[in-house]
Amino acid sequence: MPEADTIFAHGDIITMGGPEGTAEALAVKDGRILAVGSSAAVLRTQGPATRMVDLGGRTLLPGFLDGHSHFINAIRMARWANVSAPPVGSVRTIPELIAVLAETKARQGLKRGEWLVGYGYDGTTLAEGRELTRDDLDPHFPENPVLVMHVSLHGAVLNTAGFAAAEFDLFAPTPPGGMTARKPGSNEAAGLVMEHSFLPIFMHMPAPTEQQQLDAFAAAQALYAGDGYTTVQDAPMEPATRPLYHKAAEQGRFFLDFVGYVNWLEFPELIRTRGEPFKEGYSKHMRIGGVKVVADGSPQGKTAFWTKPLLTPGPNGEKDWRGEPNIAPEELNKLVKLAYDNDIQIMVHCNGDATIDMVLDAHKAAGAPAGKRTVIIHSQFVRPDQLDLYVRYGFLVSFFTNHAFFWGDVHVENLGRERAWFLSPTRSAIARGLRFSNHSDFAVTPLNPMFILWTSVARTSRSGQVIGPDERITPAQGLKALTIDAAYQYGEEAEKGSLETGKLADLVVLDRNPTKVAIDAIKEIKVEETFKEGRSVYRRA
Amino acid sequence: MRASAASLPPSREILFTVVGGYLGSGKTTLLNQILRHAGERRIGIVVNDFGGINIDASLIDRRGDEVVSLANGCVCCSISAGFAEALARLAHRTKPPEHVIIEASGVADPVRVGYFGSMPPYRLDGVVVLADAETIRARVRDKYVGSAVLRQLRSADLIVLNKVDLVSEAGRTALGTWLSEQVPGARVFPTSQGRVPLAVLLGLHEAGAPGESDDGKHDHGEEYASLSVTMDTPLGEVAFRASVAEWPGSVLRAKGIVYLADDKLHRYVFQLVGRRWSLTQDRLWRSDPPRTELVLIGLACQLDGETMLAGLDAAKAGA
Repeated sequence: MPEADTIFAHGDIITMGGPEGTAEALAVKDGRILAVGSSAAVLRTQGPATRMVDLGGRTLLPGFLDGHSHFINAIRMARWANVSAPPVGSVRTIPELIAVLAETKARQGLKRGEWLVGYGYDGTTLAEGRELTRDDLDPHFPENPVLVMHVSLHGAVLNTAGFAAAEFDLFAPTPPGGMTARKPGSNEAAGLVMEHSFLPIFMHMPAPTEQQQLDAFAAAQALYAGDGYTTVQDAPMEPATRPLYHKAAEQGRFFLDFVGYVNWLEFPELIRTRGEPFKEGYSKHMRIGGVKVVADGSPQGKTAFWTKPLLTPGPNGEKDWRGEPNIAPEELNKLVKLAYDNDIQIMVHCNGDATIDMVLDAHKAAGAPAGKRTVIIHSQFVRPDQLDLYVRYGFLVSFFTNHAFFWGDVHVENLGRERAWFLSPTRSAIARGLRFSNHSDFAVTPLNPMFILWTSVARTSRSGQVIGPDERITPAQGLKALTIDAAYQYGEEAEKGSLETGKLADLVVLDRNPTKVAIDAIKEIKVEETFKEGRSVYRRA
Repeated sequence: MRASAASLPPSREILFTVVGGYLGSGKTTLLNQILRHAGERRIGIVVNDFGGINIDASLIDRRGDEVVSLANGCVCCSISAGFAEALARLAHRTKPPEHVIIEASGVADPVRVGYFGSMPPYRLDGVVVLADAETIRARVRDKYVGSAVLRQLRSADLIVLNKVDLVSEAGRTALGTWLSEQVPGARVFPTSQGRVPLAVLLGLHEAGAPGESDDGKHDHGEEYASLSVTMDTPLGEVAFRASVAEWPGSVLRAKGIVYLADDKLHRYVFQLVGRRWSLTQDRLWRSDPPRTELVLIGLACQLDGETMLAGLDAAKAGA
């Protein structure tokens, strides 16, 4: 028996695999799991050089696999200040917001004239009961352009230096489709600009250089590792930043496993030119997972595509609004066929059931081949009959139960209780034997996997109503969606997702056991340490 | 007479036209037509094409990473790297295009795309939507894309009804009736093979001096005619607006300056693209002789100059 590098013991070990589901100890050798099971069995791998880790009652789990997120946002936001309200951030008042900005400015050592950017701003959450203005910001940041991005990403508050740097005329009339907040009794812009008032500013924002972006890879991965993720995703990669990922990999900047999915718009071209190694495994912690299609919009933005109308008017006041697809069926059919013919995984973003029908049609049109592991990302308003077809076709789902908390109340208003309650129907999926992951869609909601687990178990909205009591699942079931079933989605279930001998030692240590704490305590559970192939990549300070 | 367009001062603004329409309605063909006939005008094209830029290879000069330079000095770039970024890149070129045309994707709402035309230095000229005369009615009934296609038609300033050569005379009449029911007040240019005169589409005169009397362009499908109006007497604004509102659907485009009795110090700019029109205050007349100068472009067979002139005369009287 070879000698272990490390042995973990004296805590709860949730294996997510094997008949027991739990273990007393786990041994690691050369980045892989050498032994897992009873203390007696595992301790046989102990040698003189073996490092013994006393879990001290904490909980060891497989490292989390990111069911779906946009890693590029972490690159961008790694340098930004989080001015979000709880639970995403900590800002409740304007002075707190300014303090977070000032802290970021100091930490980054920003020089005069350099942009200071915050994200997650939502004026409706501020104790002051009003929007932030440039008058709030100017005294604190006279020499740096400041842009505080609205949580919707459709607008921002700027300081005076920010407006000047963006060449924004403070007295310019508000364009159609825009919103420019004005100072009371004046035509002068106050700070908040939204939608089409914001677009010209957005165009003027300096794009980060390639080097700045490459340098942000460590911080971006630290965000994920801090939440216990060991496999991360960007889907779809923007065509313009796809080469950046390859460069980062070449330079050895990935310490977590990264899976990139190409944008559907460039997929046919990439197939034709063999522009990406779609079928190769990881090289320097990066691989190309397949192609991602965005087939509709968001339910809260009413840009998803449903078969039945909403109860409320459309985004522009339309009656009987049921949204529209983001892609023509002919194009979707071609993409699905092209992916299948080349044996490449395809993930399709579908929020509404009409969009899901389009994908099911495309699958049939392509001959309904088995074993493709086609993933319906979000699948939030899937119908029961469509779940049956998922099973028949071997589709996988990446659900988004965080919506129950963040937009559950909005969904009830727009769709009525019956449809809203079937949001991300995890229990119905389990009843059919359907495998699914559960995701953050970061930066749409926070990465925190314990928050995701909590929303799948509690399904409580911001206002406290339970969005679909019948679709609540157990913590053990919810954990599968973050580990072994997410690994299955990646086709990596032989290497990841459970603590079994021979698999990669991708591990996370939690301060408490999510299957043992009270439901509402799940979201408070902290990641203590994260290991990628046996190596510590995050440790809580 | 001289066209008023020629007498307007040079402007840094970039005109912005959205070309929408479902798959197969002829958007790419139309774009290629535009590029072939653009002459000296610098046109920028932003495409959201399925699988890359699909402009006629014979028009492509060389291909860069982001922007394709075309043989005639026009440029083309792909939306996929981000729409606002693409527009910014075009606007910040050393020789920015004078007119940018956006090819909206097959299911896009062209009005939403048109919102980007309010970003300085862009100015929305118009939203043009193509419809395939053979298939448009079936498209509107389609369970997936029907509502999107109908919305495209309803949001068009100008509908280009393409492939009419594939439809019988009776079919055309029925289609016309159907369109007027579905899209009240639609301005429709019927054609085939995407042939639309640039004068109609972009307000460009393709050959000869600007404003040259150029009735009946036979090489571009449906005939069109232009009509020039000059009036020295100031017009009443209310009456002028009322007169424009009464113009027949055959007027597809108009442009010029207007001399208003209500404000004799400033000249006013009038622009019309299909259903969209505006009358906005411009600079002082300064030493220019104040007078109204308009050029109207419309379907040759239906551009009834006398009726419109009568309407404008009434505006004069109302002044």
